[in-house]
Amino acid sequence: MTARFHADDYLPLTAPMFEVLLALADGDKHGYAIIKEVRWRTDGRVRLSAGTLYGLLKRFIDEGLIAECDERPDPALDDERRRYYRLTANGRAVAVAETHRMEAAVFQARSKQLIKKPRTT
Amino acid sequence: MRFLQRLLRIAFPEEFRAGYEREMLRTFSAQQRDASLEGRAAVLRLWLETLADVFRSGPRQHVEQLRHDLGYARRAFRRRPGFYAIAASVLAIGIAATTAIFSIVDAGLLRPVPFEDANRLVAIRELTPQDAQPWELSYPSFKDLQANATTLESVAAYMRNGVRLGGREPRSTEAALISANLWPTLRVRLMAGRNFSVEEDAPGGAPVVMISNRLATERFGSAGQAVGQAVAIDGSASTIVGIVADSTTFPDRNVDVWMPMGPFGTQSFMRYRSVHVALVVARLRQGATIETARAELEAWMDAQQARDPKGDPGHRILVRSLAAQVTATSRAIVAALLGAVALLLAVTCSSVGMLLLTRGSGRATEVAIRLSLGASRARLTRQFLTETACVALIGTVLGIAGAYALLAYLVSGLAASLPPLVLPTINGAALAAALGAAAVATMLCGVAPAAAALSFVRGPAPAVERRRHRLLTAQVAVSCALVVLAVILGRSLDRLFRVDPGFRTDRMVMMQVSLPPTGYNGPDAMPRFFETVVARVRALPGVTAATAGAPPPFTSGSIGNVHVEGFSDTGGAVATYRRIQPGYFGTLGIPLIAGRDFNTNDGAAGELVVLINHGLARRFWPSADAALGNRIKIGVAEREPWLRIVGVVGDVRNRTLEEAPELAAYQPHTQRPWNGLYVMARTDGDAAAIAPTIQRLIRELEPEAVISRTQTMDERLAATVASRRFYTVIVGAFAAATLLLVALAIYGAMSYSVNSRFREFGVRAAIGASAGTLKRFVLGEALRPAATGLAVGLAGGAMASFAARALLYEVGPFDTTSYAAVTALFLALVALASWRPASRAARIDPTVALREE
Repeated sequence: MTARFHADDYLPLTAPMFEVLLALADGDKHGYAIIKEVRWRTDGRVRLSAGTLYGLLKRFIDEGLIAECDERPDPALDDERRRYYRLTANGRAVAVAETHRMEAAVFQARSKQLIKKPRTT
Repeated sequence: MRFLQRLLRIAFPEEFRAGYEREMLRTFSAQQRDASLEGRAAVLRLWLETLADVFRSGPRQHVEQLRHDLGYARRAFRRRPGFYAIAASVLAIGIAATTAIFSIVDAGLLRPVPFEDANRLVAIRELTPQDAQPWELSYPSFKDLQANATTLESVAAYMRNGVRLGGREPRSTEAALISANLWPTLRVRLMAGRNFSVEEDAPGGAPVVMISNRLATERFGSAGQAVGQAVAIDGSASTIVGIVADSTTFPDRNVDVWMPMGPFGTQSFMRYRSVHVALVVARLRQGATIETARAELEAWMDAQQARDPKGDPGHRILVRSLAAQVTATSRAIVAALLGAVALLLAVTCSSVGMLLLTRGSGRATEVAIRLSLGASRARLTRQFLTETACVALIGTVLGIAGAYALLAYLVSGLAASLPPLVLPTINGAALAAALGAAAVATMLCGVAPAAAALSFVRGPAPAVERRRHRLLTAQVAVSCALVVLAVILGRSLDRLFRVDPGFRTDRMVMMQVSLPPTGYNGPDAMPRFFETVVARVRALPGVTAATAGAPPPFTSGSIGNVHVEGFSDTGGAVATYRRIQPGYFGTLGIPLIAGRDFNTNDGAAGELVVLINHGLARRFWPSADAALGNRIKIGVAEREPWLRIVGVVGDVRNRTLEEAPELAAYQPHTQRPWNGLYVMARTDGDAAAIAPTIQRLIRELEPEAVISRTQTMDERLAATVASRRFYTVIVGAFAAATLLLVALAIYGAMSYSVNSRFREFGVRAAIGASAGTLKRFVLGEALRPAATGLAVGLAGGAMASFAARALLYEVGPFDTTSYAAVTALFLALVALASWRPASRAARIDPTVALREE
């Protein structure tokens, strides 16, 4: 029998943790794809190295937040077969919960007038 | 890339690498390819970042895995709490007992002399034809040796003495008279102050004294402040010149005062060669051996006897190491005790090992399933290692705490029986050895099921079972041998306690009363004081009889040569003599065999009279009655007066219970006054309870009197068997510990055997085996290896007892009662330990057992 899942138990996430989950939110990716996406999306502020990345992936897999998909060829890397990772429902719930947490923090900061107005892009 | 691969091997745990190494290398090569498009700086940056990351995340993975393994371990403990509790207890008991007992053996027997270069220190005594115990040397002999011995670098002497310490709270304390060179000979450095000078250690020397640090602190606040102060010793002021550290317990740990012996040189006990008072300790000259020293001293002894043939005929010199002297009574059992320590450790390790192996074989299915699911052998090894490390850790912590508690208990319980010079403390090396051995055994046996590296777990199941049986046999054998020795020693001690000492020891209390040196002039002043005390004590409610005398029973007392009127040669007979008050024999319950007791007519002015014991009477006369009216002298013939024998009393074991009664003479205190006697009272209830009343009464009569050594006769009796009791308790502790370990091991092994053969028992039950049959089957499984162990153990016990026969009293090493008792005990133990597992087997429901598979 497994214990009931509570997304809040995993919060707060560190920046690399959140970024890895976020990177998988829009589709399955292999390790290097995750590193590249995170680096590009954060303007190079979060630079993952292989050791950190695979440590996180192993932990997320053990905790059931992501799952490994079958190996398949990476079109960008000739014919090499690579392992792909997918966000599970639990993983998505945790990423969402973390987003809400940050959102609430931003709201609080704004109500204290720490920051002026929502940034629009 | 190969460099990175090697680095990953070092930094990350194997299990992690198995899953991710290939991926990580691939990712890195992709990163490197992209970075090379951006230029060299980017490649360099990638390398630096990656290296830093490897060193950060590698250890994190190790911690992560440990956390996992601990989680597994916790779940395993929860599934079988009883099993792990037993394993941890076995370790704890083994470590505690081994360490505590070894620490005592080590302090008392292995390193008995805590002095620098101690193997060059020798003790010198004289062997006499009269006495089994070696004697002291005379003071003139000591001075002779000091001046002439060439094989000895320095020769020192000491003698024990009680002194009266003046000041606000006068009390008596243990003291030693020492030669000025005692501390330099032993190479003991004083805590403060200086040694005695040669002038101070000579007749007419200035009154100086050394005191212990504890006395200095008590009286003057600190060692430094005490030096140069005056202290009243036996009524006269002495200057404190040195402070002896409390760790220096020579001649024993009760001595608080050291005085130079030279100033006493003019007194009679120091002048005669026939008076043996000086305990001599010497340091061998560099290059000299005990043998060369012995040869020189024997020649010296021969020369002395040639000069004075009547002096001490038949005396031989005894030279042995100081260590041997201190542990003289215990050499025989040292090896046995050390062997026992090793055996106990072996039993502990094998018990834990067996428990874990049994547990491991019970997990064979689990291991097989996990291996087939892809867990690596290393992974499983690591997890089992973590699990057993937890057990080892808990056992170790409990074991260390237990060792301290046990040592404190043994030291407090055996204070009187411990060898005198060193106070036992937990021996670091012993603790480390015990912990190390236990840890290695635990780890090896714990990992074995996963690693399959030990022959114990390889091979078909019956072979494993056989090996386990052999282990159990060995354990039972070791434990049984120790129990046999303990039982025989215990029975011997019990026999000793049943020996009739020749007088009644029950419900008696005694205390030493020393009168101040001034105020008791005149020949009958001191006797009159004690007569008054005895009369007042006798009148106390609850006291049925009272007397006074010195020295008290169970003390060797003063010894002198016996001279009998009409006998030119007494064959070197020596006798102890005691000064007593009237009523001594009645109070102690010593029978009067012939003649009369002392009475009030035997005063200072009357004829000098003596009572002798039956042994002394028989030595010179055909009967007790024939001895009456004859005259004897005890001591130095030229100096002592003739004493008329007026009565003969029963023999008394005055020294110890095991030594046969010696020749003894008793003189009335009135005719041989002395300022310190033991007041003794027999009561009709609790003897110790009346002691304060007697003390109060004595203080009323003489406020300056020093009252000391208050104890019951039974306590004094116990002190005489203290060293025997010491060994008996130690061996008993070993035996009890192994017994407990073996019981736990049998219980653990049988429980597991039943659990892992659940189905087999189910099948047996299904084909008609009754509950009784199943129970007998399991009991038989346990009994078979135990019976072999028992047979071997009984033989081992016989050998051990034979080796320790010097410690036995009236119980032979092959005492059949003991062997029968031990056999019964072990059979009962095996039955008891396997009872629960057997009952569980008997209750197995065949339908459940068969379905489970």
